[in-house]
Amino acid sequence: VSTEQVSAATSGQVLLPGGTGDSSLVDLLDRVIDRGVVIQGDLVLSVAGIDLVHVGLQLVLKGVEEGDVW
Amino acid sequence: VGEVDGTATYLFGIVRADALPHAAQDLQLPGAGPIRGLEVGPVRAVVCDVDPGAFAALQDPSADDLELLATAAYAHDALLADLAQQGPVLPLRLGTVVADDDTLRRVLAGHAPTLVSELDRLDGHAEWAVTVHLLEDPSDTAASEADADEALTGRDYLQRRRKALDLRDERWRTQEAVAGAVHARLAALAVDDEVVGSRPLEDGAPPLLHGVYLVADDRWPELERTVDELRAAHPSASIEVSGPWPPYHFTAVELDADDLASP
Repeated sequence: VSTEQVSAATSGQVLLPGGTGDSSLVDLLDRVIDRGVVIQGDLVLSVAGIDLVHVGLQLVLKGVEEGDVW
Repeated sequence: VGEVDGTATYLFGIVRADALPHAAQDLQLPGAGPIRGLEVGPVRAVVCDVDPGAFAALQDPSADDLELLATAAYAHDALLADLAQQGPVLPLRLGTVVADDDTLRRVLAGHAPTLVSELDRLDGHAEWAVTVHLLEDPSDTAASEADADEALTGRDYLQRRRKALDLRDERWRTQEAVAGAVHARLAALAVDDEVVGSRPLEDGAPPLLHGVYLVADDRWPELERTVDELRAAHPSASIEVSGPWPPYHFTAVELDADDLASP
């Protein structure tokens, strides 16, 4: 799955051309990981440790960008 | 209604109970069951069965896990977008997994009035995101290159340097003015707005403006016209608009499950 392949599937469509670059995967992840309704409490298994996801992802995405991961 | 051992319930979003969302059949989280609705009083949760350990790898993601996360994120967003086309939806944060349907029923039943009023508030509205970048002014680069080519006396150098700094200050003020003007115009036609200062995964310098706007559906043409006008008025800026998004930034609701945990 490359960012190009999947970017077409995001719900937010570019309204008018004029954009530069395609950061839609990062854009989408920032929305769906950081925002939205949250259920708090021990009953929630969730993606435990959303902060760890952030830190790990920053490293992974950086690697992808620099081309040394894929 | 007990769940099969080894499965948990993944929650995409919450819609009104009278909504009968027809989700795309091919939409599925990686390794998860089909999408189904779970009616709880006045609301309906849109859920699927999922292996409770499905997202465990994401606690320390590698490139392979990023692919899983990307797939999950796109499925999550695509389903919510599909629901949003049919009526108001409260998007859950990606990866919200509860032990079973009964747990979820309890949480939702305990917060039903909040959920209903949020759905009412968002009905007929969508989220739009606007990012403003400054385009580089080619004359600046040319000028500084010309400077470098010449041998300058100390005094000339200082004069030029001062001029360059003044120019930079002026450009900075212009940028602030552009960001302020763009945001003011868009905020004026939105019912709610937020300037997103920094985004967790954003790499490098943040843009001049990243704003999100909750806009009534019948004002989309006006939004489009306004963006056209702003682009014409600020040719030095690149103004990117994306939308409609499910209202991720305008559902800052926290549902406390522990209050309701006692049987």
